[in-house]
Amino acid sequence: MPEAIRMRITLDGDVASVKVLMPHPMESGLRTDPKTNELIPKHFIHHVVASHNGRTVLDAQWSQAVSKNPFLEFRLRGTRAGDKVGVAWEDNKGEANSFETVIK
Amino acid sequence: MACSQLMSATRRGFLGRLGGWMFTLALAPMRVFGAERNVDAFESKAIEDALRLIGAANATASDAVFLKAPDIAENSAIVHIEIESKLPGTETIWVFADKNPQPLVAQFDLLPGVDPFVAVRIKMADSAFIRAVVKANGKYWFAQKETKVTIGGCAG
Repeated sequence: MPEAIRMRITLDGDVASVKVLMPHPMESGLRTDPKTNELIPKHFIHHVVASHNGRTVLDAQWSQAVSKNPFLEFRLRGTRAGDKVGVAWEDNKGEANSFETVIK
Repeated sequence: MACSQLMSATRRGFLGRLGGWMFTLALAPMRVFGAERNVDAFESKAIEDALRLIGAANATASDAVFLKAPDIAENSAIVHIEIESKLPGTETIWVFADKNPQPLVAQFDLLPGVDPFVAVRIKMADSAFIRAVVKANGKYWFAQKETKVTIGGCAG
């Protein structure tokens, strides 16, 4: 079970700035395991979707070159307190995680 | 007997068609948001190929695309970048690191309700140009910025 997604939202007028941290190793496939001397296989989030009140607003495809424990910031327009903001990811091994919170 | 066989065959046919139809319906919403992954572009080893494969071979430099990236990144594994487009009709933002083994780092499809802005942290294999490509009203634009990385103990 992957570690929980963390999200911080700041509301300025009707614009919500959403900062997201997604704990994930984001293995590039280029690193060698120092113990076995073997390449560590690629393991990375390849698809991220953000939603506002259940509607998709941002659909991202990523490579293994996004940093470990990915950080993502985006801005939603036409938002207000009580709205729901969600983020979901899926990685190249089929693991997935999601998180939804309410704007305060 | 013949009748019930006919019935069941028909029913199976109907259920089969219904199943297929429901499957199509289930898939339909997935196509609505976001393009399918452009695997060839993500696998490309040369920036020119990756740009061509997303359709941006003839992208034009634009002052309306803002790319914020550090001059020097002390940790090449965590390079914070921000991209903002002031172009009306911005629908997609791509991020490239020219000298990465696979230069295409990320693609962001924007849907109504989100600003044409993203911030993300990326890994860089070497000092290189970071490139932000934007598709707005069917045309491709870009901004780029050179970021030097200091790797290991060879800080210069």
